[in-house]
Amino acid sequence: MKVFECCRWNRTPPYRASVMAMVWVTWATQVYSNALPANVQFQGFASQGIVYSRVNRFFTDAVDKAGLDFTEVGINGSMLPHPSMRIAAQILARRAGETDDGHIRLDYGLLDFRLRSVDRYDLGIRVGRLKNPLGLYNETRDMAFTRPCVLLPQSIYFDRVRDIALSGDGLHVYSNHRWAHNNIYVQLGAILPRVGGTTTESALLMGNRPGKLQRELTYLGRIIYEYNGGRVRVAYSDFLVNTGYREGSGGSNGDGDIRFNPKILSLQFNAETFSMTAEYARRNFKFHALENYLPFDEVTGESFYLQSTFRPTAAVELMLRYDVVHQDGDDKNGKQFQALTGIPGYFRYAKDWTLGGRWLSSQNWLISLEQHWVEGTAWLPPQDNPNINAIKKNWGMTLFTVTYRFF
Amino acid sequence: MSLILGNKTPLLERDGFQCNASCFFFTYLSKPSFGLMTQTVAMVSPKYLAILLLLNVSIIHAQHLAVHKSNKLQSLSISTVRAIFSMRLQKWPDGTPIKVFVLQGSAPGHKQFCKRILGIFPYQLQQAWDRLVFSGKAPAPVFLNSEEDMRKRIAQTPGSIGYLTKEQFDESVRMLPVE
Repeated sequence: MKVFECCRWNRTPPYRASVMAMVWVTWATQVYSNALPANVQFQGFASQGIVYSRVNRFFTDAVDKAGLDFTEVGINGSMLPHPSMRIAAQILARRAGETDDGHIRLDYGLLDFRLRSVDRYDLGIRVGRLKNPLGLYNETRDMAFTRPCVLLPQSIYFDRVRDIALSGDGLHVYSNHRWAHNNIYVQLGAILPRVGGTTTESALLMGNRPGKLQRELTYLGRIIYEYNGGRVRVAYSDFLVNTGYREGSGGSNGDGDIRFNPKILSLQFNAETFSMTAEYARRNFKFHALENYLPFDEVTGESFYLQSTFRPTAAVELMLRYDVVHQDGDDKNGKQFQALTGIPGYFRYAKDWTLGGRWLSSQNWLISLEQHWVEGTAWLPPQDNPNINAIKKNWGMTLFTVTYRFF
Repeated sequence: MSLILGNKTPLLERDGFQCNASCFFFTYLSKPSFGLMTQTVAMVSPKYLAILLLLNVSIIHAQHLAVHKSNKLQSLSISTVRAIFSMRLQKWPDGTPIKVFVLQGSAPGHKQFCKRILGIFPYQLQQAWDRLVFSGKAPAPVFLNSEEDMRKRIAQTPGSIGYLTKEQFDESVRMLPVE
């Protein structure tokens, strides 16, 4: 009996080679870490998942069959050539069903200049490829230890479109302020967004169009307030993405522009054995001169989740989460959309109950397991489900990951 | 409320007592001040204090900040200590890079240090490191296996900071009080 679906692993040798290379580098940097100069550091992680999805496919190419197509390997290094300047970079290989093919990419690569750093505050500038500071989880979303369980709440951190949200190339200014019991961290940035991939185009323009999306100057900012060393954390993030659609010679519908503006409000309460996290996002899209591709010129989506984490021991965490997304806040059940396009209304929302547990068996090892019960397919990856007629309203999945990290 | 959310690290906890109680919501919200509450109860009624001590408080070995001998500072504020150990403050006032040493997360000494000196839970500190390190914003601390290692590495490394129990201090490292 074939238990695991391994054939896609065999079909993609570059993916396998890249993951093997990363694992090898991870091992080598750990073994030889004592030989490194004092101002150089390497850290890394490797994670392998087993995904079993029911009714619809998520990171797998078959339902009711366990798949191994969920792998994340990352390695990062940093160097301090001067007390006020750091160089840091991370390379990442990620395989996630058909949504990510496992190629090695630069996750971030930056120069960090500390202009001022005293006991009460820091002021600095970072330039390069920078992770976007959105919500509580975005900057480290591919590192399993930083997630509450296996997957982040998909309503806000959806994996079907990642590049835009993940990082951008440009400049961030940051300022950290510290008092006895209160901290404020501010980060503001001007970047060029990553809109090159076809998944971004498919998501924004509902299909792979003849033209291309173009990078335009994009702004973002986040402010975090922390009370008593993080006992309470409140954050507000704002992201103003500008991108142009250039039809080129392949089509006849002309050029257009897209303005995408998500705002996220985050709240977290941390006690010794219990944490509560809630985030609410409003995502406004404005489309100019793209009526030939889209049935609307403006739409505002809404996302919300409430997540509670219990720690019966220092090494065990149990998580319960309710996560909901509406692609259009004015058409929550998708009925108007269905009338306009003929596509079922449940493509426009998703309600997800997740129950999970994770075991930090040591400083280096993490084992996570979670179960989803989902109604609606708003964040179901179309890449894993090419036959739109086979997509059903109620579905679910079980995910299991083993992760190793080293410092 | 003002008592529970008081600003100063309470005397009881400084002197090496550890509170294990999880009585009230607000105790969680500001756990480092639990000792202050215990003191307040004691002022009202010594009988209740005796019960609290019997039920909830156990004596442990206290951790103290340890720095390289060349460090000329007289003390550090709690916000500065938190900023250093969460890897946000990366150089000393004289410009020397700060090198942070910690024990492995499962070590009792590390847990005590987080809760008693920093006033945060070990998992919060680990999450703060992961967030900064894996987004390229800060270096990771150096993890060590024992207090002997910690003392040796601090003695060898200018700009370093870590923590030791009182009996582990010798002339090779300096103890630095927290204000």
